[in-house]
Amino acid sequence: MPAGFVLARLGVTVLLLCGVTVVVFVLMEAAPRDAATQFLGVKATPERLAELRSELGVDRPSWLRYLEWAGGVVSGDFGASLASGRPIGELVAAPAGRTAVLAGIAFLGVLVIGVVGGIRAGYRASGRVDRALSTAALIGLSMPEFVIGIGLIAVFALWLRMLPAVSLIPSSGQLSDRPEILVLPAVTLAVVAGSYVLRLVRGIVAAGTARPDVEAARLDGIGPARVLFAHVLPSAVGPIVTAVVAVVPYLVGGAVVVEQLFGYPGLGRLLITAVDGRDQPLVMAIVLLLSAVTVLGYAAADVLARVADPYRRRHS
Amino acid sequence: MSEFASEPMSLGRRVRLRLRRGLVLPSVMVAAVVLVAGVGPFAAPHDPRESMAVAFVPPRGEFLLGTDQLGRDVLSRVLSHGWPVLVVPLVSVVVAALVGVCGGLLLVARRGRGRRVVQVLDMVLAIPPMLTLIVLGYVLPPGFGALLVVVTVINAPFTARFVRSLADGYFDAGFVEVSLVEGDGRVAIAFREVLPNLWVPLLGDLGNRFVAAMYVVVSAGFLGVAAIGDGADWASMITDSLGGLALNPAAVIAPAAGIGLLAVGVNLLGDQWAARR
Repeated sequence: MPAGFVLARLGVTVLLLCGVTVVVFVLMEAAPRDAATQFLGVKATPERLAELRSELGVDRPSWLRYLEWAGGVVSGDFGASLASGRPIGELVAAPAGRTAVLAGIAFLGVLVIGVVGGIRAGYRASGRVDRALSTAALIGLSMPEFVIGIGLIAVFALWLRMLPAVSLIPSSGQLSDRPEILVLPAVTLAVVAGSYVLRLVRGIVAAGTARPDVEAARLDGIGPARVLFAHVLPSAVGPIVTAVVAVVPYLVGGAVVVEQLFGYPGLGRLLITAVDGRDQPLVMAIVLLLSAVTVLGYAAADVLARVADPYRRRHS
Repeated sequence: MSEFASEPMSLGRRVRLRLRRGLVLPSVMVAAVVLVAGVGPFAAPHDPRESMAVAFVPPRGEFLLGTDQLGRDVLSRVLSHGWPVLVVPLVSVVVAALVGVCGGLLLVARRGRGRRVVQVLDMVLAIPPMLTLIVLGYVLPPGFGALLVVVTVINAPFTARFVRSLADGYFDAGFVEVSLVEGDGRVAIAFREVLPNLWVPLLGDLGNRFVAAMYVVVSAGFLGVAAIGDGADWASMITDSLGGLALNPAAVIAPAAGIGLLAVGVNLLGDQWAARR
């Protein structure tokens, strides 16, 4: 793969992230309320607001604060939260880890539902199993996460009483002490993302199965398993990997609603708290982190697609 | 009877029957939600805003779906507050589509600048919609206008890119070349000559856009971002009643079922539409 392609891709990525932070910064500057009004609430008088703003340093010109912030980020310093005064890195680390754990488990679910289900459905396209799986996947990806989550809660928490409806972190702070709180949120995410991947993988495998050389292999009397693994899958691996990797940003960024539903203290819930309190540096850090994961996820999918495809590898 | 049934059906007839059967269930699902949302406000047995009993009474007797966190009748609230889930996405989808179609046609007409704008659009599309929703939703004054803006920002780039990919080929077509030779401007040609050819695929895409818009609107309601009215829609009702899930699950499950029914119904219809063409 030419170094130029990777460099250009990297350049676009950095530009996009700069763009996103500028837009978010400007939006928060333009918002009718700021951290001072949110903090003081009904007790806000013009004098106290002015006092608090100068204390927080938000009374200085916007462009100066943005440049200071960007300079800090480049040197690895994300500043301090306006609401609590604690360093951003310290505030973000634990929730980010919890979101990553949830996304990781959901990703395993996506592999099972999406890849295994998709191959099964696509290998015998328009068979009975395919129709059942494809329809189920369409239903799964149609519904908002919270509707699926509520359905799961109703069955597994309220009716069967097998799993907790609320994902309370144990007092030790260790997720491994109560792993069962991860099940329902992870399954919810996996159903939505897995349904999406299933339909993509089904299409890829169905197209591969219909190829003349695969048909010829089958007519030669080669068994179905061997046809699948030796003739259909090798050329389908690239597109399947791309489809699966492209879902990672969703699992990380799309977890907001699921975290809110189950009360799981991850990055998404922290973002909502931060935006609510107009905690600009905290919002900027989380937005930057989530956008970076998204953009890197798509970039990785793009690069993998090129690596897996001999034609594009030679001609790009 | 048996003689009649064993008569072989022509393939075309069988395909048509299958399609029609595939359309019945999703149509019933969508129609049911539309009916509840449209007629519901007039059929509610109680005042949806009035506290009638203690909080989270489970379904029984007078309250078929129990009561919510303020002791209000859930059935009356479900019936009265269904329409925003339909109307808000519908209106915002139309606005977003207009913006997207105009944008897309301009991108095609202005080829050189268009390519650079598309590169920017690709970057905008890479931003997770939930991020856009949360940041914009909290910054804009809450209400219908905010949702309109959010849906347009999330949906219009998709439509613009779709229109551009559809319309690009037409600029090589004979009837466009005739207009070009006659000295018409490229923007005028895009709207007058090219646009009429795009209606069918655009209408097909509208189903997907509606589902996306509905997803944004109900997620906004659920997260309490840019809420419409004072919690008077199905998604906000879910959030408000989540605390009493163990006491009266119906207060959460009923509005969630309404949203799920509509989303699945519209998506199944869109799938059938796509399969037909």
